[in-house]
Amino acid sequence: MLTDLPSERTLTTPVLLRYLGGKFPDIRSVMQQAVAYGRSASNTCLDRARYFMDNKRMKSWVTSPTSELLLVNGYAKNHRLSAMSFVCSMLATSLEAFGGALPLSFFCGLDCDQKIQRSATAYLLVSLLAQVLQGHTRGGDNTTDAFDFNKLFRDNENKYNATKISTHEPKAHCELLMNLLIHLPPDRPVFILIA
Amino acid sequence: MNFYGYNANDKAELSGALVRMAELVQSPGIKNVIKVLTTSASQSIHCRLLSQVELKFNMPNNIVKQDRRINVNRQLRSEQQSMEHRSRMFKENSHPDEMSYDDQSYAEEPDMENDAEYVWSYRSLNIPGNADGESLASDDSYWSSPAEEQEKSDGEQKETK
Repeated sequence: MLTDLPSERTLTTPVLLRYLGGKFPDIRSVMQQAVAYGRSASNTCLDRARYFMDNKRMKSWVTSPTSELLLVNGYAKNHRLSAMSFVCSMLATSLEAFGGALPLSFFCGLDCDQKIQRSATAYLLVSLLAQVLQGHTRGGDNTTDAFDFNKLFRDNENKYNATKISTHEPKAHCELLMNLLIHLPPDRPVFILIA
Repeated sequence: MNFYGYNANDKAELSGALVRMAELVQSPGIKNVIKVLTTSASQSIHCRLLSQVELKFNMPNNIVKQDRRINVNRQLRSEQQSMEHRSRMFKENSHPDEMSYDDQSYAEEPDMENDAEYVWSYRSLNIPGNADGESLASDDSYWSSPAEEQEKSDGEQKETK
């Protein structure tokens, strides 16, 4: 029983976004910053980005029809942006333009706003969750949810609930994120890009 | 993930979340295609993720466009032309049966546009560590898959034979 929810009927995308904190980074603006960085980056940085994009392993990861996790050692220094930020922003922009895929991106150096009182993990997961929820709302109308949140929460009561979500428990966020992703149409591949 | 402004607790928590994400993405019950690309400059996170991940990519520290290689290619081409010229001269000055010049061996031009490995090569600079002071594995074998390792060792065995 969902005792900590005001009412099952009220569990919609806007309600869930409110549980997540209500304020999220504007991912388009963040991606534009990363793209702009790449355009003005040094030749060395651009060469590294191009090397990665030209690589067979990268191409195979993008095009293969199976779920895969690719770990990149980008040799980033302690700067807000790197060659990989540029690569990820370009990839996310291309995937968005393609339309069939759902790109979710997170840029540590840009998204990590120290003024917001959340842990880094919570910030990453909240950002990804918000992108899924906002990116998959039918026709941009928040009153019609693409997901059956009530069923989702009811079936996974032991993993997450409204309290765990609103108090930013990383495990609960992670489980909710994966549950949302597996309830997307199977013909819509999801790309999670963390740079 | 460059951990700009992240503290040790943040990193530990993040590595846990990424490992969990990797487990969930790769669990057999999931029919949707979920692809995760994560970058990391922290050795501790790498170590935890490496056991979960089949695909690894080690970005070279510095990539040098091989102008030198292109120059070598030009030099080879010029040598080839001079050999062709010498061969033609030899043919003209000798009987046809005495020498047959096989110019097919020079016919193939390298497909530089499509061969990224040819045009681009990299040299790893000896950078002692990242911004966190952690030393990163720069050895490519650290990133090789078991299948690649097997191929390498097979190749070495053949060479020794």
